Amino acid sequence: MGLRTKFTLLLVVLACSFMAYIHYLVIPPVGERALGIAESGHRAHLQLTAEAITPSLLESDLAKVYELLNAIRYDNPSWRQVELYSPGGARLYPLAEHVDFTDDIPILILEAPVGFLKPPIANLVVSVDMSSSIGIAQELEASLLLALGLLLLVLLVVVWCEVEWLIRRPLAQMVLAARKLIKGDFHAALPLRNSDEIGELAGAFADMRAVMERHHIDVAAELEQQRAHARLLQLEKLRAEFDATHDVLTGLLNRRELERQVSIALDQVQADPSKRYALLFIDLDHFKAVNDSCGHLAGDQLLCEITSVMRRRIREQDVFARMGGDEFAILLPRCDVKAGARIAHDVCWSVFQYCFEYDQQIFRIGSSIGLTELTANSMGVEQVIVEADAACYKAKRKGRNRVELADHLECAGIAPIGKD
Amino acid sequence: MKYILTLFCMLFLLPVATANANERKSYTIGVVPQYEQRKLFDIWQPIITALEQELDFNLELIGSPKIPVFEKKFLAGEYDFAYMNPYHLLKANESQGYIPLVRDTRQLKGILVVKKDSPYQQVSDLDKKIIAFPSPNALGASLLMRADLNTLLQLEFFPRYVQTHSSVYLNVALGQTAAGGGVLGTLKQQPPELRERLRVIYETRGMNPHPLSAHPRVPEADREAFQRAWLKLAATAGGKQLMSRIPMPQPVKAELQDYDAMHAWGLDDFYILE
Repeated sequence: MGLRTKFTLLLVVLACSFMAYIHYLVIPPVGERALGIAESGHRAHLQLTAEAITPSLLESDLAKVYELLNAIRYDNPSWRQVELYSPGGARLYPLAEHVDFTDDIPILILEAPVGFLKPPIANLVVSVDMSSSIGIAQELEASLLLALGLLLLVLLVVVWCEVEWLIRRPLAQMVLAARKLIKGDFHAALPLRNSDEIGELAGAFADMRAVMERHHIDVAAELEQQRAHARLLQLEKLRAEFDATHDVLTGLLNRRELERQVSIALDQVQADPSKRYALLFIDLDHFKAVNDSCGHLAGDQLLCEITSVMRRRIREQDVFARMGGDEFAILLPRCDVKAGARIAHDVCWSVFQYCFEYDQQIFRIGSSIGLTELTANSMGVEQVIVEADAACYKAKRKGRNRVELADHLECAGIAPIGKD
Repeated sequence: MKYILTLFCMLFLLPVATANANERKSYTIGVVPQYEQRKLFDIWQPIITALEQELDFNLELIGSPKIPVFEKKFLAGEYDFAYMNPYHLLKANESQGYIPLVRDTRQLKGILVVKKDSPYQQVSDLDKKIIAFPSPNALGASLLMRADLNTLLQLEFFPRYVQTHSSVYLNVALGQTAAGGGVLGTLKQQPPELRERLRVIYETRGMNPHPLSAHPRVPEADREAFQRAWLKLAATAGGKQLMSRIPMPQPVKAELQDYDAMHAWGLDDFYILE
């Protein structure tokens, strides 16, 4: 329930209480007072009437008494019945019989002695119709109630407006500003900095928000800095990781990474002997001639270009690494010796076909490739690589630019691969 | 020139002629104050105005606040003409020689009323009772009634004077007095609810009613002229209507002998000086 609803309810309760107080405690005495005044007026009039008829009654001049009382009755329509009784109780006025009022007219019966001495010479009794006096009293009550009600309404409206404008709306504005502040909006409108408490609160809120905004800016800048630093570290980490696993010159995997991949492949083969891996060990032929005649830069360029040549001959998933110098290795997943030999020949042929031009010199180089297969019986990474290296060496020995199988493959009856 | 002189003469003679024309004789006329003065003048002034058209003298109506004042005035002979009750006429005649001119034909009688449901059936039942009268010297209702009760009926009673005839009837009707003296004329004027509560148990001896009389200093010719004019006016429908308010609806010539019988009634014994 909002402040406005609570305060409105409070005002309604106050208004109801006030009107109940007025209605039950203030108005009734006023009405009674008005009726009392009317009654006093009738009493005074009755007293005057009694005095007026006294001389005539003392002279037994009943006709004069009748004349006076008739005139007085005519002048007072609210005197429904005027009666004059002798001390013995006999009715002297009027001649007509006594009437009991059976209808709902409010009748006030007043009595006054006639004569200045005691006992009185007669008693005057009037039945006053109080309906008009009651009507006047009720009108007075109603007008008083209306006047007080209107005054109360005006007061309540003024109080309500004051509270609405001086307290609730500034507070609501500040609540809105606080919510926007939570969402990062530091510029929501705030109440004016008046000299009252609400104004001071708004001022304090604005100051607090300004401090928070400054702090927020500092934190954000710091955070951004940290993020940039983290990104840099990540990049450096990635670069280090890359450098750790790749060859700097050609961008191929390095020896350590190849050994790790071979180790994983061995684990898989040993777990599942149906899986096939072939490993090629490649050593470029006549690379030293290029290095010696044209320099290391030419050698580096040759290495890069020959890498691209070989890359085009193998699959994407094949693991291609530079083992160092002019030595390369390729791990061929899902590839038996036969398929591996075909790929090795393909690579060997493409290298052989390639002509390296540098400083108006043309070089033809070849490659000696040793092939081995990873089996469940392989004794480890070192041993597998040594097998492939030994086959490569064998290819060199046999005249270069050719592919040779590892010894144990030949022993197993697999035919050696001759030069195409 | 001759015309101018004639015109001047006429201008000078005109006021003289007018003065002669204004020199009508003027007589005063007094009326017994039966009613309050306004009503009295209301009744009498139209009659006087009508009479003046027939007469070669004027009449000036003189009012009196109360009956005793009126009595003193006619006893002193202040009125040239006067309307008074028969007993007053006797006194006025004795003192000043007033001569009655006209009177009504109806007989004036006093009546004694009791409450309708009272046990009183005859006058003797009212022995030692209180009886209301308008005033001591009201002729029919009081003076003659008391004379009758005392002299003729030997009734012992206590009078209470209650100012007016209406008060008498009210006192009786409301049981404040055992009986009351009035006259038939005033009883008839009472409202029906009052009349219905009353019963007449006695009527006094009758007498000729109020005469309009003249002081002997008024020349006989004027007295007769007045009498003729009065009777002539009464013969007209309008005049009759005016006179019935006095009341004198059927006026006739009055003689002093018409009132002689009253001398024997001994009313002086019951007359109370105020």
